[in-house]
Amino acid sequence: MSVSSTSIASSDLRRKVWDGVIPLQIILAPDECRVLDVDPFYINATRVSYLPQYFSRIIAYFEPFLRDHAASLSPEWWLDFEGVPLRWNWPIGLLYDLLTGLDPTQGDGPEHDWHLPWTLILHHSQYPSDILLRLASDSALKEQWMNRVKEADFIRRGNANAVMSLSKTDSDEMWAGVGEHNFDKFWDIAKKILPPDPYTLRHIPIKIYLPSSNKMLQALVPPSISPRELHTVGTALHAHLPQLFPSRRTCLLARPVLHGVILNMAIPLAELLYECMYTDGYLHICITMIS
Amino acid sequence: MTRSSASGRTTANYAKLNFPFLTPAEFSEACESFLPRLHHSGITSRLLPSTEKDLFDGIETTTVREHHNVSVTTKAFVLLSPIYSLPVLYFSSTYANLHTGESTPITLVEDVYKYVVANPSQISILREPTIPAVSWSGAISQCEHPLYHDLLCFYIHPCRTSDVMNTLNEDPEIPGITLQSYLALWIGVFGPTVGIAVRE
Repeated sequence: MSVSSTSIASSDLRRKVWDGVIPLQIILAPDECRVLDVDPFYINATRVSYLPQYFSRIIAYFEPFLRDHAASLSPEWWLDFEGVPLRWNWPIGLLYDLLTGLDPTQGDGPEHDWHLPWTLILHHSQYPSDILLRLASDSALKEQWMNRVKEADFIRRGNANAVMSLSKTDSDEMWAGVGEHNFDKFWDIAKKILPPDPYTLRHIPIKIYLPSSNKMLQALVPPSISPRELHTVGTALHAHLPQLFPSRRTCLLARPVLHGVILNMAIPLAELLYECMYTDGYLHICITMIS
Repeated sequence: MTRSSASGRTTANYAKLNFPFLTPAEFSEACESFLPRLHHSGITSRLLPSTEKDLFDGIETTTVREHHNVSVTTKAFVLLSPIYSLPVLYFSSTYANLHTGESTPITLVEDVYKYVVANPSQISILREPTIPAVSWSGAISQCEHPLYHDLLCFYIHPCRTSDVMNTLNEDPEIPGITLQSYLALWIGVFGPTVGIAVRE
């Protein structure tokens, strides 16, 4: 994957990131069903969006079959993949890459299970509130997302003034861009809070997710190591995860994955951010082990 | 603005250059200085050891509050935010029915205000919404615990911390803030949320 432009103008790559989808197959948990043999619900979820954004469509489909009708009025539904409850506050693309242990180097051979469509089980009862944040209100997702947007702004500039001084109209528009999956609505506002030159940023907002654990590393990485040397994917991973990334240039033990693609270690982080950030302003990078 | 300091080493340099931001080493030193103040105020507390040698990740306190028919136990964590380079107060609470002894974790912000926070309207850090254009539950949000990744907890939004500490630093009635006094002043602002008050 090569990054050709440092311009903040709309780019092919940014649009490609926006358009990435994970096809989902949603199965209603047997203990939620009134009847046997309910067909699954299929939907294409976008990688940069969040699970709760699809709940009203999913529940509307299953509503005639629910054992507990009152549940259809409640926002607090949850999904599991192979028994693991899915964190609704993490973007769907990140969840998929991390939990399926995605290895993009595998060819299209029959042995490799891409887990597509991604099969998830839908529940209402026994919400795992020891594992998942509460989803008890309609504004829960927006609140979590906004907290990350604020943090990312702070990381970029050393203060969150750009986000804090957005008008209510702009702030609502940016969120509407996420909720409606509207590229222009989102990016027209997002551009206002990003400095034109990514190399003027204090730090790059980045979260690194480790495999087979809930461990997430919050790293503060500046755009440049020195006036002559940019921080790349490789130099940042080597600095923060030296045991997994003993080399700055070659993946020996593990690989960084973003939006389903293995990141080239030579990519400058500042440019990667501007082309491939998630809607909350972060690069959410997951680490997969080389088998 | 210069500050005099009894020890004359890190604290004097610190107060001049970085205030109110803290490096992990400075925060660790501030925690070590603060712990005896907590013990002196009768608050159960301990230092959290770090994987980094000779450093501490923060402080954990345990407080109990009896409210109506329940006993509310709160574990609070004073941790350094890697994003803000400022202390952040995280906490998790359970309430136990005094008759049955049955214990339930608190996971809704409404219940935090109901059981954990005494007199929220009198705690200034909780009063204003954190983004002027948007209003919701206010200054407390649920989150994944930054150290213990399988735990959920709450935190008080730290975005006003910098302003708050600068205001304290400019207060003529408060002696110059050093690493030794930093957290005792900070807890004065954030601590009342979870019932922590430190004696003079």
